[in-house]
Amino acid sequence: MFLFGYSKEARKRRDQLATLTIAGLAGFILLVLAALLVYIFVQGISAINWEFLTQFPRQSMTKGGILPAIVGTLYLALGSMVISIPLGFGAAIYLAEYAKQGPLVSVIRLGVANLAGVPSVVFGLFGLSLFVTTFGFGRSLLSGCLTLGLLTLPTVTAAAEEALRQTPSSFREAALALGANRFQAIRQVILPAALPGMLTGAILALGRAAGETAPITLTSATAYSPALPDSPLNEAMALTTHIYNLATNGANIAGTRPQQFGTALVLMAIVLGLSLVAVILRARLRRSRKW
Amino acid sequence: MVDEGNLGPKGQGADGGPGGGGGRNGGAGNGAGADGEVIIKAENVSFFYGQFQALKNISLDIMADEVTAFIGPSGCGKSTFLKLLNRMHDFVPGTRLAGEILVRGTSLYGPETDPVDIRRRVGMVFQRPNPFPKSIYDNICYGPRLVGVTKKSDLDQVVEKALKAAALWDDVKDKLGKSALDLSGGQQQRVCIARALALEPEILLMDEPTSALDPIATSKVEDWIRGAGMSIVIVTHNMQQAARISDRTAFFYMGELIEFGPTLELFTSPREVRTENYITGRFG
Repeated sequence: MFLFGYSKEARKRRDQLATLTIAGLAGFILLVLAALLVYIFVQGISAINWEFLTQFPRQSMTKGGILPAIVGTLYLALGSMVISIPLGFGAAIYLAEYAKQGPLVSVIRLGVANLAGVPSVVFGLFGLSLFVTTFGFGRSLLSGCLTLGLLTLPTVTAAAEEALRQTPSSFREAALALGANRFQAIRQVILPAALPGMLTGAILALGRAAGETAPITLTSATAYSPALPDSPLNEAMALTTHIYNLATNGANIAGTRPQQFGTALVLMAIVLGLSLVAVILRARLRRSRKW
Repeated sequence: MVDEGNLGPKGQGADGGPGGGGGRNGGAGNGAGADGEVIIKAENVSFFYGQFQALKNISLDIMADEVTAFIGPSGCGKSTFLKLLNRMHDFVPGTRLAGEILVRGTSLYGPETDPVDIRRRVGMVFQRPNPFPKSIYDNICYGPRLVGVTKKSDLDQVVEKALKAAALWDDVKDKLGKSALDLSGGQQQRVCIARALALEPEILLMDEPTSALDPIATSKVEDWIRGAGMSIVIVTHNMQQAARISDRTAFFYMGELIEFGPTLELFTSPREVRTENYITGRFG
């Protein structure tokens, strides 16, 4: 026994030190995050009221509300998910389940990972050239959704593939051994097991889509709109571009600070709200799995 | 080539009792008679993973209604051969098969053979219990639902029958809606057995089904195998287990089938030195 006990005190101290350091780092990150949130909250809360959330902007956007920007951002975020989730999940299923593992698939996987690192303004330029001009969709919600859809595609695909690959292969074998064909095994056994993990990627992508500025500046955003969009081919306001406009070339840059922070606060609330819905959904799905 | 002589009247489609089947049920003990029906016939089977030859020219007949054990040291090819019998290698890239395997006269790898159909006829239980993260009921129903059984009363019957056949009904009949993953390891493995039995397979393959179980759970699964009265092929690491539960034993070594015969004979008077060395524990 004494052989193992002689350095007990030293080991205990080292362990405590490590725990303290790691906890300290985690605490620091939380502190920064909290400071940011509190700052935006304090700066923006004075602008938030019922009128701000439900009215159109007035007097060169120095008064009134941000309703069209809220609606535009919701359309863009959800619309881009309509594009990136089916495409991304489909690509992930192909890569994880069907593709013959080899150099080609490795290159595709590398490409997906690199695509996630491409600056968003490059996607914006691409969307401007392809959707707005070549396809003739014009500056519109459709062009914005397609561009954001492509932008979020790598995140959605990579996370979904990872989740699929982590599903125990014993599930696949069991389903196949019971006479399921490949597609049935995927749809009935593998996909339900992997779905919570796949949704994690979609949650991240949703937040990113709602928060992007450059791509929609180039493809869909308008500084001011007197009506809500009634067609996918309409231009639309968005929260991020609204903040940008108020803060850089608005009629009263300093005077609209509260509106700028108020808009930021609304944006954060929307992103958190959307994420919360997805997190709850994921937790419900996850409850049925234990392995 | 199909050896019609060994297949009994099955080929004619008559269900009036196979010719050689009469005497089997009573004396299914060790050294069962050689007059039974051949359910799986392997002829000159070789199997490759890329360049590596995992099986070398294997020929053997598996008899219906018997328990056949495959034994041999790790990497000897016994599991590889077992998985060939319900085409579980189909999705492994870079594999190649030579030779012929027949299930009751149907070529297992023939061009017209549907692998899905084969897997329904040839059930499989795996090394680790692998129930789906679903209820016990839905686990058992998985196979029958795939073939289109949807009526609740039919499914209820299937579940009860399969769980009774797997000797699990009394343990779980009051909690069919609970997750199969909440059961003990031994019970989970019997859920997997029941899940395979629900399709009423002609033969059941078991790949070291007790290697992840404790001794009590192991003996329950062994009891089930002994009493099942159906065609079973079991791969096992455990020679005592093979001796306890099988009618015939095949000894594999380095991808070759060294010896195959009635279990009692193989264990008491092996013909091959390598068999004797293995069963007496001189290597392995």
